[in-house]
Amino acid sequence: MNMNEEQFFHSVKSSFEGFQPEVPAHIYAGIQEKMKEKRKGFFLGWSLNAWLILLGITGLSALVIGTNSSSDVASQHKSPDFDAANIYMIEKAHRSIEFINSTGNKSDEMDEEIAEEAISCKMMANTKSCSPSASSSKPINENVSASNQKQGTVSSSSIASQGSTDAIETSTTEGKTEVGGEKSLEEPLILPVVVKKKVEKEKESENND
Amino acid sequence: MTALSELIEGCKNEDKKAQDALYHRYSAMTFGVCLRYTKGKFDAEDVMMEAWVKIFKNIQQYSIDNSFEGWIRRIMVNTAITHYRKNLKHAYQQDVTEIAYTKDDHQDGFMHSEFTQEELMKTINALPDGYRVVFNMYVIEGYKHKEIADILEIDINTSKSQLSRAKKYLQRELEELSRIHL
Repeated sequence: MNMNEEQFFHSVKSSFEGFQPEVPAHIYAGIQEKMKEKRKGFFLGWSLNAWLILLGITGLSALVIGTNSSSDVASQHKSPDFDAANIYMIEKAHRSIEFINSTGNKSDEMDEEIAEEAISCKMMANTKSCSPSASSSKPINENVSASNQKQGTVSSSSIASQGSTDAIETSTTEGKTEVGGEKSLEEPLILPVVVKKKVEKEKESENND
Repeated sequence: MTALSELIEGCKNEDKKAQDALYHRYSAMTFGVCLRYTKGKFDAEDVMMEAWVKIFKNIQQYSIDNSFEGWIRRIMVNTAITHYRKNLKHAYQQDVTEIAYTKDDHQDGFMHSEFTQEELMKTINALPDGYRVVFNMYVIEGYKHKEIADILEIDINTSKSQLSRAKKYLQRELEELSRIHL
């Protein structure tokens, strides 16, 4: 850089010292406007964020409440005792009652036993299960009451022998002992037929005699 | 007149009166800076508004140990540079095409002539954007070529050549003006 250049730069710089041009009045208004816009933008962004956070919290709480209530229902449904055994008991009660209704030729003792068993099964199912099983227990009530009504007719026309009652008793006791197993669920389907056949055979033999 | 420290404190607390007073105290000086870095009044107004919004928003960061005028000036220059960068593509095209040199220009000697601030400002405003920014940064603000190159992200030699061309252009234009005056 030569001296001339330095001189030139110096002269330019010095001529700008104390340079204060007239400032248009609208600039300050513009600055204030921009400041307002920025503040508005900040609040808009902040409120949007607040809404998003609120929405998130609401969603989370709804999710938590939902999972809690569903777990409650699950715990009601899935009580440790409520399993296949209860279902078996209910079915067993149904079949016993159906069997009584269909055969109609048992002794009073047998009827009472089966009826008692049916009632106990019903009670167990009612105490251990919840609403869905309660709905399934309704027909049992009806059947049980029907069996009770039928009990009179059965007792009046009881012609069944002691053997048949034994067979029935064994079938019911077997059912009691094998509660909970898958195999035992199938047994009541067979046993009443066997008992029925036995009863029929005995009838025939009596007739023959 | 309120002390500067009180005004700054007021601005830190977003006091409107303090902001008004601070603006009116430094508006002329800052507008001068904006005019030097931009092509015309309209661009200068844009830069001025943007820079003052920055000042009011970031006044919390100002430390009382430093010169307040220096701090404001730096914000002005930085805002002007940002503005220049935004229009860099167009500016570059102008840089290449604008100035033509002739051998009979007074390249080495500068005939000192009388010129007013307004005339000088007009001449500087007529410079291509790149030349003007480098010239202002080097001559008025006192930056070194290395610093200019770093800030504008250009080569040092580019900075040097732009300064040289700006000087030649200004010399020629100012001599023209002095001839007219004579």
